[in-house]
Amino acid sequence: MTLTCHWFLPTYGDSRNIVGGGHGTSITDAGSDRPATLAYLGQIAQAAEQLGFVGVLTPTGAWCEDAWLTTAMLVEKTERLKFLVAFRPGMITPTLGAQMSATFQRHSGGRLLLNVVTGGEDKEQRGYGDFLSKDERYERTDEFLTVVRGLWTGDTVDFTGRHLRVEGATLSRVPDPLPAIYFGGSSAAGRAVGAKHADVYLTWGEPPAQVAEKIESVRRAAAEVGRTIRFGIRLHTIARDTADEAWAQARRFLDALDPATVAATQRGLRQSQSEGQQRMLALNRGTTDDLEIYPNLWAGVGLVRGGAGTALVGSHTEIADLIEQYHDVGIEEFILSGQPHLEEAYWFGEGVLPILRRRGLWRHAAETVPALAPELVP
Amino acid sequence: MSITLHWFLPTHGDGRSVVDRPHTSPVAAAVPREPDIDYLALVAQAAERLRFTGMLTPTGTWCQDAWLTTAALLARTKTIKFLVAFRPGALSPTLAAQMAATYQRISGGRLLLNIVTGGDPVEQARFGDHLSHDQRYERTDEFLAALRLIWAGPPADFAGQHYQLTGATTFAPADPVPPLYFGGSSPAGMRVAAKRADVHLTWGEPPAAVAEKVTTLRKLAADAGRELRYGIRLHTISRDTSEQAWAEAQRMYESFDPADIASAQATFARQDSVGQRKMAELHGGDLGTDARSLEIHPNLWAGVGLVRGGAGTALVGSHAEVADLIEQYHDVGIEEFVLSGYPHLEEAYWFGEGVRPELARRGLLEGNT
Repeated sequence: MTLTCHWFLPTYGDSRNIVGGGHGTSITDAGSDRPATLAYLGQIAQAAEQLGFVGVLTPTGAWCEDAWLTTAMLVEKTERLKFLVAFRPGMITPTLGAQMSATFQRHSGGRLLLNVVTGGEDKEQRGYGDFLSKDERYERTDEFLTVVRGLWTGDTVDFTGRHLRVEGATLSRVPDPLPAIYFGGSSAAGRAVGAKHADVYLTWGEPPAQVAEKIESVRRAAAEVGRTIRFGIRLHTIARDTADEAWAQARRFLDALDPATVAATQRGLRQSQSEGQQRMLALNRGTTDDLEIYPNLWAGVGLVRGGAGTALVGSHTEIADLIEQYHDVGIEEFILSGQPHLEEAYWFGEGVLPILRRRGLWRHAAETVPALAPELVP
Repeated sequence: MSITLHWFLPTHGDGRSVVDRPHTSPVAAAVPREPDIDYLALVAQAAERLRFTGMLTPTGTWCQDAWLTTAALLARTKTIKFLVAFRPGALSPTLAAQMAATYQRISGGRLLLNIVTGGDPVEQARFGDHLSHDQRYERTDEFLAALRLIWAGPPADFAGQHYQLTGATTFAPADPVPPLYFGGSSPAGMRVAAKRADVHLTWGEPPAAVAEKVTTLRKLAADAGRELRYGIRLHTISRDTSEQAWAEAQRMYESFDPADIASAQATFARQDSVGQRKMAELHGGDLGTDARSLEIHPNLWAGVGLVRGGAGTALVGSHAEVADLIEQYHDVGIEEFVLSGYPHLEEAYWFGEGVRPELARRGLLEGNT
């Protein structure tokens, strides 16, 4: 079992400081340091590709650029890199989602991965015209993925659920290959839907023991419906030649934070109905003290940023060690990011990845010969 | 008089410390970041985004051919110019005139030329050149005279000591004629610069020494009825604070190996380049006690030259301090800054995001900044 490493596209702007916001809170000013222009995002995508990352997660929400369109424009600027496109089932019909996947696969040569995001905050969902409760949203995601999976088999689909109803739905072209479905959801409803539909179940970066517990529960739920799934984790990273240098950088991030921004963000995030978000918040306690919640795992990012709020911080070796710990409890995919995303990709790519490679845990994406689907072979 | 900023294309490879050390081996040694075209494109695109005007691309056994590498990068960039370094002794002036004309046509005028006469007899001999130092400059003089004659239009005849050309012409004119950048600190070098160059380049000596050189060149150029612009070649380590910048210099300093420094200095000593000698004199081969002991003028660090030939000094300091020192050079007549830093991708962002806005605020940059 080898590790897959992905990087992240900051489609809301980038900075040498933490760009906060997301999950119902507005993006902090730092995002205007490096606006999310196609030229700059192209630099990050190309760097990630050269360093051997498999894909880049591209987020979704009112606070960032549209992930489908941004990544479609970046396909031309890269050759191999895959795009883990985040999107919300509630905002498009399943037939359209299935068709867009087919189009992306055709024009990109099969470089789409899908990250299904069931919901943001109620307030944000309502802005998009979605008034369902959280559990209803997961129910709808279940129906959405049932229809999408049906269409992807090439069948004509008739489906009547509580939320979605399609008749005679069909695709003129099935995505080739079928994009892997990544899925996040820490609540009971989320775990159940993940077990049923996900190829890769994602968690934010809780300490290894909590991640182990989560994996165990989702694995069991998947087994009950006769499925096996892979597991991934979403983390930030600050890797340097020495632990001192890495922690100095973490300290610099903290020193740059405005206490008023921290307080406002924490107030906002604590309103969140997301169980994953609440689990993230429980890690930092809202203060700048005691943020190393586990050796080399730092909760400082979560002070001002919704969603993934923890970072791997330390020397390249220490970070490789912590990655190995996650790997030991069942994590196979790492979705990483760091500020600024261009420079930090190089710190991780040149510092940590070679160590993982020496340990036999990782290979550069270009070293892997892509398996051709039989129908693509002339 | 405003400032033009250029960056550097590391066609020998890149890393977090000085990696271009041809004294260890004339051929490319293993480097942390191989100079493959995808990485070089990333650096070129960064420089373009950060609004540098051009990119110096070096010449020598230890790096890749600058004409071809930059030509390959034209399609991956839109506006940035390439300051292609080449040695007159290595090709015919007619061919060089034609290559420049072709480059201008396919690139839409994105070529700048850096004329490198050569400063190391051992390296020159690798290319079949066995002339003495002053003879090399004499040949460069003829080469540039011929180049300008050919670019002037009609088929040209030229008779010199080193070149005999009859009916020399190019397929299409060079449009625009690329500006000629030129390095040379010896009396012979400065005489040719005064007659033929558009921009004289110096390595980064302290401002007073640079002022002296500019004064000498101005006089020589005036005697020839010409005016030149002046440029300087420097490394840069700029950070949000002075402490952070010097910590980075210290990190680089600690990566130097004393045996390697000795071997580098021995190599530099055998060369006949006056500019190289002046660079070596700045530190005298003395490792000092720490990075800062090599600060030979406020915020000017001679540490790079311990292991690197050619440009051996770096601007080190907070963004404001580096801007201050740039202003000092500007005050003594420098208009073009050809900068680099390790690694060239990340350091371009430090300078472009840190120092450039500072220079713009001071109204020192060309155009609309």
